[in-house]
Amino acid sequence: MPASGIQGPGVAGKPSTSSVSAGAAAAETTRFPRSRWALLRSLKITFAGLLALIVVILIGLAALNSEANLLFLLFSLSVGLVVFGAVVPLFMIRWIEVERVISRAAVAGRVLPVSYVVRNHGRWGAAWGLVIEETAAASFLHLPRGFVQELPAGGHERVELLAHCPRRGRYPLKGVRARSSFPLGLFSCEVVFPAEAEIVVYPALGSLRGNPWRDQRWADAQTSRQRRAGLAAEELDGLREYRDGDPLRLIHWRRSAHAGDLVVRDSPPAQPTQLILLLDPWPDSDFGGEGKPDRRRKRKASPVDPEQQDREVELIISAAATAACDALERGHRVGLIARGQVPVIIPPGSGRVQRQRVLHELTMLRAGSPEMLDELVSRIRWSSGWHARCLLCVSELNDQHRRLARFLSRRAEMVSMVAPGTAWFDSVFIPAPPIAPEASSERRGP
Amino acid sequence: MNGYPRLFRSQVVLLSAVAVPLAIAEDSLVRLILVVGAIGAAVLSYVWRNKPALAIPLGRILVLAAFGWLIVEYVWLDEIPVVALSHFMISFCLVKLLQFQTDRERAQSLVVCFLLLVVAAIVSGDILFFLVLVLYLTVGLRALISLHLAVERGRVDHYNRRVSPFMAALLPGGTRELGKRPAMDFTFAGAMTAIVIGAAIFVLSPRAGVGMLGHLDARDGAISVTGLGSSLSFDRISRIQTSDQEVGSVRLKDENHQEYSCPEPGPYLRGLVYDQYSGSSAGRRSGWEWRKTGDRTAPMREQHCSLVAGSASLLSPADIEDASRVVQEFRMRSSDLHVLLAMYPAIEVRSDDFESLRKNNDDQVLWLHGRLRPSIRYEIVSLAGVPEEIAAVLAKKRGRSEPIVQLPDPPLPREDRVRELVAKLSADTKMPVAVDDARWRRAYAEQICKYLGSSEFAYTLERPPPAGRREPLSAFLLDHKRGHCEYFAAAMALLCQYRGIPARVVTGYRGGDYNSLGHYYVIRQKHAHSWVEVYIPRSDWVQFDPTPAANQVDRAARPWLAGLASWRDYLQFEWANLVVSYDASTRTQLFRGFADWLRRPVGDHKNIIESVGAFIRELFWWRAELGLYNRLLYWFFAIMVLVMVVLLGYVFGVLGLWAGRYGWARHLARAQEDAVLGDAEFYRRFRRRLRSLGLRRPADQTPAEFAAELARRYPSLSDAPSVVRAYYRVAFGRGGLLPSEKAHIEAFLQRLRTLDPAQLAATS
Repeated sequence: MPASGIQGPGVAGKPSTSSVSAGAAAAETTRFPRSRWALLRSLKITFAGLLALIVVILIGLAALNSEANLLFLLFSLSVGLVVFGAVVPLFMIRWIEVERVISRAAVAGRVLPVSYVVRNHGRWGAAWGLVIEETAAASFLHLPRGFVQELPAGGHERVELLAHCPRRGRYPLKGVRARSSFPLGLFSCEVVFPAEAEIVVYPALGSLRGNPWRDQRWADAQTSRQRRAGLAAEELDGLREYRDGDPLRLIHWRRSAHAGDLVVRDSPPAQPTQLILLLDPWPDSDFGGEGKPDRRRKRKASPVDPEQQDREVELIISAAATAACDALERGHRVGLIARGQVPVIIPPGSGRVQRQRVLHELTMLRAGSPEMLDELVSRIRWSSGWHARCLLCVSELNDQHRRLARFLSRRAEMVSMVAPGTAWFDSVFIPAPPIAPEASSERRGP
Repeated sequence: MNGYPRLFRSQVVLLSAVAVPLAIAEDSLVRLILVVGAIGAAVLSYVWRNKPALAIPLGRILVLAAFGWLIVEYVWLDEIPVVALSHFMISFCLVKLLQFQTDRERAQSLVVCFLLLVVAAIVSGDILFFLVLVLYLTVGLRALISLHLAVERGRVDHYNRRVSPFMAALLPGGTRELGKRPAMDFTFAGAMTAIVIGAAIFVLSPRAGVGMLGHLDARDGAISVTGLGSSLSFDRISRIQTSDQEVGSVRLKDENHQEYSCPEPGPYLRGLVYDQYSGSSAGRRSGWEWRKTGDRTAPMREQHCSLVAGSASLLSPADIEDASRVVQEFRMRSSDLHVLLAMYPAIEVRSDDFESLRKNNDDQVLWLHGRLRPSIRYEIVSLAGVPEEIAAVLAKKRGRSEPIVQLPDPPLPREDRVRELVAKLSADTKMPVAVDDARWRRAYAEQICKYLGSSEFAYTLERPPPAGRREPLSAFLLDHKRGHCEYFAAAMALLCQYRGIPARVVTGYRGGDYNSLGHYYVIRQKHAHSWVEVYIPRSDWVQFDPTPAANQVDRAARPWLAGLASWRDYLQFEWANLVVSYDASTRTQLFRGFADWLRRPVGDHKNIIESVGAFIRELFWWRAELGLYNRLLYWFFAIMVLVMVVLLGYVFGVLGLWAGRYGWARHLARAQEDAVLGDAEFYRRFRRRLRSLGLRRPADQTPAEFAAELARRYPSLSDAPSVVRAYYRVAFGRGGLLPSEKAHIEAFLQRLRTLDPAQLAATS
């Protein structure tokens, strides 16, 4: 069953439209055409233009030296072409406006649709060879570039692209750049539209085999909890009169005999189950004492491959996120305790808001906490006690984790270890597969 | 390759336009066949097979081989570097055309095609270059624009594939070429821009001087003509006599600047003169040849002439008064020997392309000094005939009344037989010597011409039988009696010398292809010729042409091509005059002519307002002298001027507006600041000066803290805190400053003004 969670853009709200400074949000500041001086300053010479200029200068020098008039003629025509190559993009780019349409949230490893709506406000003269790109490249989020071959005057085109972000995190976007070096590629003129936005890329969501939350031991644990609460299996919270349609098996015959009327059992609302995720994705750098590596696991010989380690960390976070989303979807309450640069403690909760919160914290989780997980856990005093199933997600099991597991097992209903190589990780969790792209492109003229 | 049919066609057209004429100009049939064959193979492969004709590995090998050939040509074959480079570039483009091309390779081959234009500009002056330029500004420009779009799209697609694996499915399957209409629009706009700006730069750019950066001559060795060498040797027969390669052109006018009608076959343009036949059996110059003994003459027989205001007289004007003249306007490619062609005798030289020349008084040959431009223009004024008095003047300049007869040295092996022939010819004149030496000499010379022109002798361009150890002229006169003009002229000169008559062999050009459109003669290599000058008393040197009339067969084009050839020559002539030979004097003439044309409607008005008024009146009122064509031109000119004025006004207006806005904004800001600072404007100066020294107040410091820190760090700024305190008092305390305080502050600011960052750092 595919893991739920972020289905696509729009789940977190409407896709954000990062408009240009001359767009709808600041219409009073829109001015077309743009300042010539500003455009002139943005005129840059390309590598091909530089080579062409060098060749033209050399031809000019040869003409001056040899007094060959045909070389003069060639030189002067070339200068004319260079000027033509500089002037055309200046005039074209003046009337261009670009608007970015992108979702605020995405999931790592999944497609992130991006659209750019390009408009040509000029009344005459099409724009050619427009390249649309982001101004600042955020790490791990490289948005593709759009290309518009021809944009008629007064027309607009929507360029749809599919971006891909392999890693979770928060990625700021600064603005959009439209540039053109048409017709000869010697000079490039660009205009930048400040369009600040932020994209939150949630951890990759895989799926879980079956319904791991229907584990018999957990049900038994639930029952024993109920017993401890003084509730017998027969003792119910209340009785009520029989209503047409009630199943016959719910009839409480003894009470009915006493009451002289049919009475049925009124089953109490099922107590929501709780799942607490304890996450320690980064292996402990201190290998003395508490943080000794698990000798039972075959670890790679040192030196540790940082990329491999990084992948494992992301995998474990993905597993935690998958588990959280799955449990929340099934109506369970989920809490989170995570060891990171900023320790995360989220009391159990349910619903969409809780899911957002958990995923957000998992997205922002960074390494660098001096506090160990067991120290973190020891500071927590749940009001309802640890009546929950605990899922201890680590990338590298060590003695400290085992001690923590023992601690939790005395307080929680059930403790499961999730780490690469454990049964839960290998047989229950299915990492997120790649998804085939799909998109479209449409264009409208004036 | 198949996604861009138009681009492929453009490449074929451009490459053919440059490579084929270059191959023809080099007279290389092999190269021409290779070029045409390769282009044909590429086209067939593209159209029929839809596949590349050449595999990529083989293409690489061919490119390497072409590069190797370039080195061979340059190092071993002594080929001109530019020409060798052009061979490599053409090979490169052909290989790319035959292969499956990526966008990058298409761009490479197009760029190389454009670079071939540079080669064509260096080695060619032909009007074909103009046609190739037009082709490049249309077809080539369009191809470049299309290619740019394709390359740009390719770059974006490549980037997208790299950053997002999902984009592969979005990338379009095919390519889209530029539409026909926008392609034409942009090509036209680009071409017009290039032409307008290019014409302006071409006309107005200075022609600074020749070779200021060093020698850059791509045409060494490209020009050599029959006989214009240091000697006339019969062992080296040039094949240029059949070539149509243009050497230059000449226009003939009389002293009234009317066209001078020259009798057939056209003007005899003298180059060099040889007056002694000599033989040598050793060294590089072994064999018999005619030499110029002028090398051994005393320097006083040479006259050095400096051109003043572009003109120099070779004879005193008083000596040549009332003599009819022929003005020859030459436009010539400069040869290595720097000899000025001219009709005999030249009396005046005019040119802006050189400043001085040497004239040999014996043979009247004109020499130039120094490095010349590839094409030079000059005017020679010659006498149409040599009257007796002028002959006397020339003799006086020569320093002797009768030139020396230079007999062969050593004597000819069969001199006795040659003397027998001389005696026979003398007898055939049937005129006694004593009657009149001048008349007799003329009769004798004519007899020689008659003898050499008889059926005994035959004109041929084939090499005569090998002379071996035989002396070639004797062999010609006595044995095979077949040869070309040099033989005939040399033989006649020899026969005259053996009769005691001074005679010399002259080499140069005879006639030319007359162009009736432009009224000028086109001088080609095939017009190279040799004739004889015989000294006849009271007539100076008289010209005789002993070569039979058979070689005067007009080798002009077939009649049905004559008209086309005439037009082509005329266009070539105007192209060469207006573009290839364009220089400062041409520019001056151009502007002068334009100014004269402009002044025609204005009449005699001197005042500018009246002139403009007269011009405008002429536009709207009909004047009989101004035809429709001229009127339209004036209208066009007036509209252009108006457009230019409006454009310039617009540009300057916008600039003025910017400047005004900027200035006003600064003024407002200053006024605002003044309103805030009030009497504390000294604080603004203080801040500005600190900024110029690189000292800026951090945001988390107050001015007082900043000043205290400055005083601590830099002893020279110890008064800074007092300035800030004064500012506080004035700005916020509404207090004033005492005159002593003002003076103190001004003195500090004055010291600050003279401080520089280095001094400040040194005192910290």
